[in-house]
Amino acid sequence: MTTTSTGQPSAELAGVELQDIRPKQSILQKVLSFCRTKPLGAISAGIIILTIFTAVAAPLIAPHDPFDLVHEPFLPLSGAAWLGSDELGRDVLSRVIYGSRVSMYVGLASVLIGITIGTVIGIVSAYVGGIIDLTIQRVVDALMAFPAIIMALGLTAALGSSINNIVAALVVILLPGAIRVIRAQVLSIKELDYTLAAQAIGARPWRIMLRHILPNVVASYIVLSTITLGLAIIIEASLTFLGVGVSADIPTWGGMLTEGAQKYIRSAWWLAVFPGLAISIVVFAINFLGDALRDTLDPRLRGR
Amino acid sequence: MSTRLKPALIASLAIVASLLFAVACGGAETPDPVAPASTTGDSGSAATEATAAPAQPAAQATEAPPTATPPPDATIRPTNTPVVQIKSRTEPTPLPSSGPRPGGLVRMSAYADTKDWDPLGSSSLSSVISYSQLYNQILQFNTVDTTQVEGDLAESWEVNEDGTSYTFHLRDGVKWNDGETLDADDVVYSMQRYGNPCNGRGRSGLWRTYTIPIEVVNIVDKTDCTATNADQVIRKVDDLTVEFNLAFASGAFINFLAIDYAKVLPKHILEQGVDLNLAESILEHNSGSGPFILEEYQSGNHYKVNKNPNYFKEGMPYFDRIEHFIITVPATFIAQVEAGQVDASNAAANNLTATENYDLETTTNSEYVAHDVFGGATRGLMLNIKREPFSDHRVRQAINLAVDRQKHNARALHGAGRGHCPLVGMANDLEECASWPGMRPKDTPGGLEDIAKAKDLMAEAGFPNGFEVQYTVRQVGTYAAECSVIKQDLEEYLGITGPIETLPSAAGYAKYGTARPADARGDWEIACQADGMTVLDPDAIYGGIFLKGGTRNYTDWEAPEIAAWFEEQKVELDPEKRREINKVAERWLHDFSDNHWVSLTLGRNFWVMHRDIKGFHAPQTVQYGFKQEHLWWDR
Amino acid sequence: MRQYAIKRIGLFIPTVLLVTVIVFVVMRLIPGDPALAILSADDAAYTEDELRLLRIELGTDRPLVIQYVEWVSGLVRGDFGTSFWWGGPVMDRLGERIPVTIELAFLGIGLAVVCAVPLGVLSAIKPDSPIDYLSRVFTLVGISIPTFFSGILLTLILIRSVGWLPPLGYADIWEDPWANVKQLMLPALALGFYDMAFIARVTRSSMMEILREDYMRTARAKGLAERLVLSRHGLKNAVLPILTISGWQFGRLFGGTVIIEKIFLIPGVGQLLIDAVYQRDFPTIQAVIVIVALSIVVINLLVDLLYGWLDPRIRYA
Repeated sequence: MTTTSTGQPSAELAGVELQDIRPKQSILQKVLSFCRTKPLGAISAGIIILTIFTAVAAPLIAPHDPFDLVHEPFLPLSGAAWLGSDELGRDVLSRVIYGSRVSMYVGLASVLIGITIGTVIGIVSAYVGGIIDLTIQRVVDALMAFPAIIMALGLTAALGSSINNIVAALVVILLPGAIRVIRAQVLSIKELDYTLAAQAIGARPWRIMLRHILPNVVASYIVLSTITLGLAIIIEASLTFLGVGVSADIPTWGGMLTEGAQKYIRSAWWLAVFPGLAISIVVFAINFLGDALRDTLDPRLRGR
Repeated sequence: MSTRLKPALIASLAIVASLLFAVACGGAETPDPVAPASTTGDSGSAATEATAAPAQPAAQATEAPPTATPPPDATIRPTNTPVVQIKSRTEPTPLPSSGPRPGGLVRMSAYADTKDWDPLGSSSLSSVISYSQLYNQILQFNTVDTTQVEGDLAESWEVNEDGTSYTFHLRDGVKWNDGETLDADDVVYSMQRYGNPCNGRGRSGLWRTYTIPIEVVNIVDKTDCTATNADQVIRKVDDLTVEFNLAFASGAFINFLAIDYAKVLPKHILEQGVDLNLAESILEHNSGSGPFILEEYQSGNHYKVNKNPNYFKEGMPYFDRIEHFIITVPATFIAQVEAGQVDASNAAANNLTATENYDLETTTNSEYVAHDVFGGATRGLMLNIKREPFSDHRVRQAINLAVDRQKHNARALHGAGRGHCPLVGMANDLEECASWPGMRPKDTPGGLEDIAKAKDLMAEAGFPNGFEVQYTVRQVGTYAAECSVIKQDLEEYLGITGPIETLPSAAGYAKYGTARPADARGDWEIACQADGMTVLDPDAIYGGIFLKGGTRNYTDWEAPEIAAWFEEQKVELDPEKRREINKVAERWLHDFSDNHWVSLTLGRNFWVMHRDIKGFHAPQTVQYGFKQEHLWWDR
Repeated sequence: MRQYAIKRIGLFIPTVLLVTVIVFVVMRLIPGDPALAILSADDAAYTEDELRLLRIELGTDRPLVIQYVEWVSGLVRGDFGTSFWWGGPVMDRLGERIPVTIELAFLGIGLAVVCAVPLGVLSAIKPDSPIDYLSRVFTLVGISIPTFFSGILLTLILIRSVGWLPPLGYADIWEDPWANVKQLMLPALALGFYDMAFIARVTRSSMMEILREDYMRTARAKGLAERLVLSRHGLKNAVLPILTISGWQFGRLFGGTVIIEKIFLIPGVGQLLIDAVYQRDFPTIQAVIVIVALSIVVINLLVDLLYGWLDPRIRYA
């Protein structure tokens, strides 16, 4: 530890305290304590893990191929087709199961990429400061001026609506928010005593970033990722509703919900309701988990 | 711990439960949606269903739509007249003995907002519906026998001996709403405007195909659009007489003059430089002559019209007022009809699927009738002949044989398709086409033969196990569903498989267009597309799909045989002889010794109307019949 | 304060310029030619020559830089150009549509605040009580259901249960206020739902913070009634963050109107935008997005200035 050899008690205390308290608990212990204090958050995490598992193992779980016209069209719920069949005679259950793939892929990919890049830019922007910070902040301002759905609409119309293009559009949407939150966080850490102390004793900037700033940003990173995941999934579905989403050929919750709700809600309610429930439950779980994680990991973010 | 958990758990359960409850309530009153008709060729999944309808005999079921109310026309009828005669599933609203009664307000739904208020260059259906009520054409289709052309502004007309010159005699005493006289000057001015090549042809200028072309000084970069020969094409003989000169004799010409797009507009207002494409200008100058007068237009929401008290047709129109509401979401249209806030759709277009249209009749106890309008669009599968392996005609022929047209119609179109003839019944009759290879049901001996033949062709072409392709569809209408169904056939029978790419409408057309340049191969391979029918005439289908430069002929496929037959039938004035020529051509097209378009079916549309609205007879296509002057309330 | 204001306003200009560049560049990346979109409407037939001539007429054949400069100089003069689709001045349509959307947004945010603040306050007064949990779950549900799903369900439930639907045909608020309110209530509710959730959470957390403040204890010690303590001292101090968040949410609300207006047939800018995207009507798309983005930038600026004025600490942050 750099700070231990300086003989500056205040810096030492601050640094040691903030750095050393965390590793005392093992990850397992942390998880257990989270489950104990936030049981609903834990249940939500379970739902999300289950959904990810469903997405990965869709071919093993789904009773039918989601494209095959295995039933008669518009079959109501029954033993042969648990969630009924759609207008072409495809199995709704299988399509809902496969639909988790797009939602989860688009959500996770865009959040991981977007928040990671946003975090890196946020740290750099805050740490380097000066003209670079100013430029980045102006771009962030400009990007934040576009409501998410309008930005997504424009970008997917421009890029085309393949799954990866939707991910790209979502990354652009999530970036500015992440940059702003992380930057603010880093700025406040930068002013804390132990960082100043490390600077004073001549620690290299990258070392300060790595040892002092990054660990403190991790909590925000996790919370931000969780909170934005729900947003990403909803935007993906909304794009399909607006007619610029993922290919109609690929089963998606948003696509099934849109078709079902707009065309068949009266005669075949199951076409809209099950994908709708799937989205709502998963996003609800994500939001609940985000709430719980925020309370546990980063109370400063509360109310944002 | 438990105190924290309990309320939250209960609360979330309550939310989920109430959601389910809400959903259940929404669906509880829904009648058993559709008794699925068993489709041939499908494994016996229906038999395992407790709710399934009793299985129907396979032969009957081949064309049955997946609905409880299969239209009786599903059995194909022979047609004997040159213009396709279509027997409607629903009878025209009967005329009671009392005769039309004037009065009343009718609330109609429009399927989309108006784009144009000026027909110039207009090919937008949602627009012609709105401006058609305000103006008149030279000719119109009869509102009872909708295949017949009759005068609108014209009282009579005659054709010269060789059939190349039409003279129209206009009604005397017709006035514009502002009091000016409507005479030959207005007609000539309007038509020369639609005929000017600087202006887009749209659907208002479709008759250009037949007349001597109007030439302008500089068309290349549109610097001078003054017409040099306009008076040789369309000429004012006297105040009430107008003459059109054709490039060749044609019986089809007057059909294109009779559609609602070919409106006569006021010369005296247009000459002041007023832009009648803006609803505000129409309101300001009161520019119409038609049965109704525009009162209000709110873009994206509604337009309202009132009866023209001085309309030149005695006693017409019958309605006092029509309010049109733009309703783009099908679920909303249904809800509004059920709530009794909408009396009719204002065209055979309401964004609903066939099943939803039939259901609407059921749920309203036939208070609302979904009238069939057959001439929607001819639907097909486009093959990019510029790309491997579709450059090999054997592959294309194999696809033509392997596509299950019955399944395509039943599943993707909910049974709304009618027959499979490439010329949609205007040449060979539909029964005849149904017996051709590739058109036969796949579970009949003939159908099995077709599949075997298709497999042989694929093997011959070097693809015994099929290949990978990309399907392209536009994100509108039923295209995605159509390609999904076709993809399954081709995968099952020929091993041809691949993803379906969906594009926004304009982006899709742009992609198809990449195959246009002579040296380009195009970025697409196989696509589901339709060609909209304005007038039911073979010329339109040849010109749109099977001739070089046709709108749907993106790869500029051409066959000298077809071009020759087209020219021959085009100038044939005897309907029977014309039909014979087209029969030969149609068979040649279907045999696919060379072709780029797999004809699937003629799609049907629905015009929803309250049963008390009388005087309605379904037009032959979705593109005309919007003056609404002949409809009336029987209440 | 003055220096702070100048600084904030100085930063405003590059942001605005960047906004126009982003809008223009993104729009011109869009595949699908506006000329083609016009000619091919309703599966109509067209020729290559017609396509070429229409491109000349629309001016889409010219270099991008020229098109950008023309557009921006038009913007400065308040001229948004001519619609590719219906051929009239974009400004005319915007003039009709903007008030509708603003009304919808105001109603939405109003409903949200009216419902959210009491909910948040109740939650904060009795943390971890059933009411608190119920309201938190409710607010989470609010942001979990896609708007288009809840909108359609709402309509369906309404027609099934009471057989009532808002009257068709948008009625102007000045001409027929009652019909107007009947038409906008449902969409405003659906629109405000998400923000209700958001504002309730902010209210809850800021109230909780304030409740712990010394002056609250003092007020109670003075013997003031609890109701008065909460309203005079508590809520009054929580108003600032609530106001701020509401201001920010107001901007976000414009995004939500795109979906809500489509479902409920409201003729606002949201519907105009989505139609324009389908029609490749660049001048309209650009105008709508720029106006929305600029109003958000302006609202954010005002919120910042207000905040800086009310809370001096901000100016030095």
